[in-house]
Amino acid sequence: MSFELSEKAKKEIERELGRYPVKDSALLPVFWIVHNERGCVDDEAVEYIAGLFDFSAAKVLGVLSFYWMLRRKSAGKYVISLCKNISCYLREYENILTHLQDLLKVQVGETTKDGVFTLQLAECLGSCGTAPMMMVNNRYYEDLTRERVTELVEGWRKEAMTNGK
Amino acid sequence: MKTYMVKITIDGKELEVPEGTVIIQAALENDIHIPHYCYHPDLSIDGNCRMCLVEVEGMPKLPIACATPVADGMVVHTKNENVTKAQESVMEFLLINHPIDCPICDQAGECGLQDYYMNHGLHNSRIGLREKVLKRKVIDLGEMIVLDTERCILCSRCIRFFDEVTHTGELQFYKRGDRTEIGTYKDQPIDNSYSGNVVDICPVGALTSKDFRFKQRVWFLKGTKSVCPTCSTGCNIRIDHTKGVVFRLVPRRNPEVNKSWMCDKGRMAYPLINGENRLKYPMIRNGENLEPSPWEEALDRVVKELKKIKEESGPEAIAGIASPQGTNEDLFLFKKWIREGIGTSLMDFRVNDEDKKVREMEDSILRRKDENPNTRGALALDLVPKNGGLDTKGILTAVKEGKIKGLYLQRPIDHFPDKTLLKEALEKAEFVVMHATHNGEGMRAAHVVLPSCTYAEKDGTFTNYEDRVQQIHRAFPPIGESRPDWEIFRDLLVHFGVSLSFPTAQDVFLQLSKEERAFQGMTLKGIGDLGRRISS
Amino acid sequence: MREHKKILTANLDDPESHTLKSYEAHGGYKAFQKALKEMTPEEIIEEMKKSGLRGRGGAGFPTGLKWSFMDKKSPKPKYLVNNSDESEPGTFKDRLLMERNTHQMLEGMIIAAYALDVHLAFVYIRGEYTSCIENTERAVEEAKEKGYLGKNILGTGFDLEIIVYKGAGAYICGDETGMLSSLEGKRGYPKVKPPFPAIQGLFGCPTVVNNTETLATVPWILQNGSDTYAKIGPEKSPGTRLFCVSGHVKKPGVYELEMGSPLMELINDHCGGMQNGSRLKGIIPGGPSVPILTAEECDKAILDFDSMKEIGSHLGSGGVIVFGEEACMVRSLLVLTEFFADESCGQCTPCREGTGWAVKLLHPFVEGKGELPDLDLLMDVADRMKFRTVCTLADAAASPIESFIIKYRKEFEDHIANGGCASHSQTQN
Repeated sequence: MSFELSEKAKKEIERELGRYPVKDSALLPVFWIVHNERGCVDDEAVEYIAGLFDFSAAKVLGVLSFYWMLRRKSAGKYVISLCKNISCYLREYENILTHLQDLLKVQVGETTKDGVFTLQLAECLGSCGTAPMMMVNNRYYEDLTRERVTELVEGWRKEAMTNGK
Repeated sequence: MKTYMVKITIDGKELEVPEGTVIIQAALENDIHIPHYCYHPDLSIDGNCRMCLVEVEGMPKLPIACATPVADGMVVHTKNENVTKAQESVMEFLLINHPIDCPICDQAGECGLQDYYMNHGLHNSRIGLREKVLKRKVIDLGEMIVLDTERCILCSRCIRFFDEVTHTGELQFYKRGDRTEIGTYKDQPIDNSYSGNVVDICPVGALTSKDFRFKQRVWFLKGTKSVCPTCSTGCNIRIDHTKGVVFRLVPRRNPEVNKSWMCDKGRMAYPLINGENRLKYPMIRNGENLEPSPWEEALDRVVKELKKIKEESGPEAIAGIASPQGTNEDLFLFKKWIREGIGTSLMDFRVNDEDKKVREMEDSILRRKDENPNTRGALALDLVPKNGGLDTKGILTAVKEGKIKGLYLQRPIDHFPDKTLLKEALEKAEFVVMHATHNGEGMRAAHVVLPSCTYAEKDGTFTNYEDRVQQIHRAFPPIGESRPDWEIFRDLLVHFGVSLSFPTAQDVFLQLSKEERAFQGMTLKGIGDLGRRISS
Repeated sequence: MREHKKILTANLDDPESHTLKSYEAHGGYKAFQKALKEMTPEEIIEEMKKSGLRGRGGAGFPTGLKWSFMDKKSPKPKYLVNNSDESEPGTFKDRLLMERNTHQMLEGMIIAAYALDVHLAFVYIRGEYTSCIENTERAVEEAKEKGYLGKNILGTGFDLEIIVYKGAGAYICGDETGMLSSLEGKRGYPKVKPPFPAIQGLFGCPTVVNNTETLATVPWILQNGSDTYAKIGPEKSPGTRLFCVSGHVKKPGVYELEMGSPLMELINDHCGGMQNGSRLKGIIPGGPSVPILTAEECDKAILDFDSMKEIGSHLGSGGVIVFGEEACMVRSLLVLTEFFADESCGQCTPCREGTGWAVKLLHPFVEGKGELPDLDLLMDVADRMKFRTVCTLADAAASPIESFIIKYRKEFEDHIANGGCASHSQTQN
């Protein structure tokens, strides 16, 4: 399979490559462009990006793997990152976690068999006044209760079923 | 720019050091060793290992000696209680996730963890049997290197080497925190002509040499200072050997020449020294074959044949071609031999434009196009024809035409570009003497072949591309009956009535420094370990 | 309830507060015009010094002084980086500013850039803060359209471009030099100092890194005068501060209080006291990098840099984390220590290995298998990892270990005696 990005992504990349006093700065922005389009920065993408910057693939992967948000392999359509840090702990995120595990029938770090959900824990996401909370893909869901989580998960399930994965 | 000196005190010792140096450097130059892992004098400062923490009076925290520049009046303590506690702590931290598999680790004996543990370890272990962070072991990284990520202490020396010296970036850290792991991209082999250096600079057993692995415990090895003979750069090296067998070559630091590096080609050239095909005895032609013979017989034959040509056709019927593989001492006596023994000035050493290539780089790091260690030495000793005299090509042409009958070759010259001329000349020559270190094709045309020892088996000096005269030392006696070139020339000279008293190569050098203008005033002591340049 | 001056949150009742229109309607974008048209860079820096403003990121370093360190004589370009990588647990104030008062932050950046001879500035926002990133990008566009950013701003000849840079998830990038490494396309490793960023920062050029809240305060100071600002709160910690309250209180959230306010005023008056009638057990007053205060200490605690220091803690990031009696301090410490171990960049030995080791030592306590000597070992590990690393993450990680074990030692001992958490429902999982 050859590595192909959309014209839009290519354009965005081109803009980023010429945007900084030192080209290297475009690395994170380029990661994001690829990540947004492919849901991950896989090996093919790493090699492609290495070419863009004239870096070794090792260097690209070294930077990539430093940042937790950047995935190397694609995950579920909805990646649920439940905050496990202190404020959410004090506000009993563990109840939400058990609930999510029951609802999705996965453990932390796993993706549902239908590929719709990935469940993971995250460090503090800066939503401590509205704990417990989770980030699903790019969006924050705050002041979580079991009921709210059930509602959300069911909504996403429906969405995934109607729109296909 | 003028360098100002500043006064500092380290462990009560008052020192004057150049401004701008970092504490660790100032200390090392004054024989105070501050333990360290990540600091390397030829790489950028990274400051990650925290082993070189020292106390500087007036500073609230312990700074790292590798990144703290000296300042006038600075008072540094490297061995007090605070520092000792910090060092013990770092050692303990480094070991909590280390596999401690020394009995099967190839680094044992030259491992930074082992060494410092003896001095700076907390000998009362508080590390329970709790789960260590497990990482991957025995990863094959190509022809030179095996990686054990569990032993890695993440000092980043190897990463910095590939980033800063070769600019190839093969090794990187992945992930972060105590999950950080060193590696190549997808375990790809490292294809890089300087890769062996990362094994040298790895302070632990994470990167080990595939070639050297499990062959010998390092404490059985003896190190001899030498110079790599595979190109004109003249990288300083150490020959690690025992019982007349070389186990590895490693670079020896010379900031002016090779810093701490050498290329893999030079590093992996050592099997030639141990080689099965080493020429161990003199050989004399008998019909189609070369047959072993005692030295006396071979020398008698050489003397007899050359004297005969000289008497019948005059000294101008003999020519010599020296080899820039030889030391200055070898070449100095070669010249004497041809000039004073034979009595001719027909000589050259250039077989394939060595003099033109000697300063040309083959890559952007260390290697040069001239594959000889002593081309500049041969030039300094003036082993080239004068006033329209014959060069190698001219000599061979004259041999082919029958004008020159005897040929004395310090080494085989099968790398001469005009193969036809070479073949015709050698077939035509009446008598060809050759020195050789190895049995080979080039010997075919010789009537007598004299076994020459390699650089590892002799003392002497090479003059590198920038006219730096550097010493090599004998690691062990010559293999078989081989001898240094200079000894052979000395004995031939005696046979030709030139009386010399050179028991050692050092004596030859002494004479050379008196007779040869370029080397005037030089002493072996002055040359020392780092060499000295011929002043222009 | 006592009235507090509002410098950063005055107009947030307006649902459109994040727009340029709303910001200007409430008097915004006047200060930078005054600065660019009427003041020299030196005068601005002098005003900042006189105001006494101290950095709101955590360390509390005087802002004017920091600006004055910028190597102005350097022929290299100079850079300003707005540190919006808010990642200290319990801290969510910069998020509020970016979401609701975006233009005040941008105006502060323009003034800072002018004072520092900067023509390219960055807003480094943590990658998780999608709404902040979108908002800030939109605000930059609005300001550009208005001619407040770009070439020859308002005909003054001053050029400034602001780039919004999205992080990708690493706490350490909130460290000044970790952020610069990340901006340079590298792993976010903090850099060995010296050289300090003001001399050799981004791409080796002189750079100032300021926290978002700090920058957002700048326009107010110029508009109202440094003396007006200096008169708010205590002499050495003037101004207002955003406090982010989370944990076991009735009304968690961000509150802008004048410096020098009692901690318990924040908790009782503003946050409505403890939730569900719980009793206060302790408060971390400025993010987990600072020592926790016991309930007794909280009664005496005053919210300013120096008072906090006096009682052995620090104002830190403004993340006020409130522990009620139902909180298990053993488990809480594990949560915090795991955080530091997760987020240690891994370059310095003591931090990389120490944080991981501490987590391994803590697990048995939570599981009810802890042993007394390990409590002392934990203290020793904390002691051995701090003050010996490139950045302060290891010091930060040591802080909760030491303060929790010292101040709540009995709870740890009870865990040993009872084989786990006997009285706190939260840990029974």
